[in-house]
Amino acid sequence: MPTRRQFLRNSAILAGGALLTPDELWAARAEQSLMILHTNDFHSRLDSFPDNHPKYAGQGGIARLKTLMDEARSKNEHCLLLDCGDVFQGTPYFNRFGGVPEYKWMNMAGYEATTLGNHDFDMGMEHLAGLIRNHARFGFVNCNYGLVNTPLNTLIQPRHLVKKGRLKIGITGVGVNPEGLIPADLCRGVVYKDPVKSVQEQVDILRNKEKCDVVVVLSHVGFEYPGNQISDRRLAAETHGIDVILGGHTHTFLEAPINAVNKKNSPVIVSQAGWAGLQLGHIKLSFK
Amino acid sequence: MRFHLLGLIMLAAASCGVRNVNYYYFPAVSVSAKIAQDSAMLSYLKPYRDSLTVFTSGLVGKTDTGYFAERPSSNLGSLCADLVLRTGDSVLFANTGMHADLSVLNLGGLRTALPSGTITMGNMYEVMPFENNVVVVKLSGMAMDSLFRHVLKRGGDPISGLKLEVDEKPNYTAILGERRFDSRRDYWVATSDYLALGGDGFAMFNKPLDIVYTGISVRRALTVGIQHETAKLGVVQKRTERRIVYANEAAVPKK
Repeated sequence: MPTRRQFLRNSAILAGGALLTPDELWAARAEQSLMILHTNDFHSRLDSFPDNHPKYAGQGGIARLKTLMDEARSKNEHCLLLDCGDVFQGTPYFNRFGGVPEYKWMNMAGYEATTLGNHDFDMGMEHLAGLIRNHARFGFVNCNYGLVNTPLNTLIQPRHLVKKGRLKIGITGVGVNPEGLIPADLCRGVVYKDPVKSVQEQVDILRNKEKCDVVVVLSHVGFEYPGNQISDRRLAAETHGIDVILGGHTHTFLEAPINAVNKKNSPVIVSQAGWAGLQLGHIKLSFK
Repeated sequence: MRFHLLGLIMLAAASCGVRNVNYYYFPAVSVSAKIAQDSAMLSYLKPYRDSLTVFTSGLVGKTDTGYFAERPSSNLGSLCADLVLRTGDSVLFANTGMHADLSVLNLGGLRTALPSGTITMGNMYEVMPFENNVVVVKLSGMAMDSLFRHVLKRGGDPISGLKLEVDEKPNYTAILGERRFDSRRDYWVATSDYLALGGDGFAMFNKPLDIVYTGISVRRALTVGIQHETAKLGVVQKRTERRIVYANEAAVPKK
């Protein structure tokens, strides 16, 4: 398994050797490309952090995010904007407006899909179902929550398909164990299923039946834990057929996405973009 | 333009032989304060923000340092635990004539830092966005032991009325007020109803010997507490002491 250091060294050699802009590099080699932009744990941070915030003064906010998103879209013919859950809870916007301005923002930004984070349940499933029905114009994917006996049934899909140019992209989502995390009366009836098994099942369908060119997992299980708990790192190592795992929940800031190896020794990218719209993740894939 | 700078260290890492995919990773792009603000988004937000102002602009109090939520202990954690204990204790006393012994919160429940300077209702909503209430739970000595172990395993959580020390072995010593923890007696613990329902892995709260519901939200308890301290002292009292100490720093669990 390539260590992070090797990975960075290889990249440094590459970058040092070619003093080209990425766009020029790109034009030289790509036939079809896809830019994936991603966020997670937005936590209702519509405004930038206040100017007197001791850690993130002036950072984040949808007005700045939109500028970065527009810039990426202007430079890449095919962009896919994805989110990994916990859109809600963290500023008075959510307490006061119940999540409407957050979903309207995601419509305007052009999000393709998101997954369910534990805090998306904070006003209850009836409320969330209403928001999804009335306001969200993007997909919701999760494959390890049984939702048949909940108001969310039919609103959350195990798979989401999207075409970009000639590329067919398959997306699934995976959520954290709600037990002891989401108050029981906010997630009554949700059946938690094994993340690795559930994800593999969906990835197999996306690969073999749907013949997707790219398979992306939107995860809200967390990047990495010291113990045996399921994480994006473990999900990467214990499955096969995934190209990219975009994560959330642990609010992890990475210098760059991680190059992991799957069960069959093929590469998987694992990424996460901090929280509160403080980072916008960028991953570009090219196909020949 | 930004990409041209960042892009010089663009990383071309893995290429999968079979499917002929190349991945190009970009270093994480920070949404810094220097990035221009999209005017359409600012006008979209304006009516929401204006209507929020009534809600968030109210003055609460004053601090003279930033308050951060960190493990094992931190000034924001200690402040919030103190104020929850104060509220829990006064309601418990009014109802039963008993006093609360300690309070425990979960660090993850404190969502952001508190600035140095003027504190508004908006800050209170950001530190404590949840609509959870303060409750006071009566725990057996055995449940208290599980509570301490859970907190220490996580690398520390906000506590008040309590000091925890972990030695090299590692065994812990718990001091409540002036006294050592006595596993044969029961204790009254102020906390949030989220934890009292077993949230964030606090299963030991789930079957308490007794419970008193204050009907006061955690945010309200913090707000009133900060108002009170500011009125009395001019600023919120500093809380620099370490309430959870690991003898061996290497033994502090990483979370």
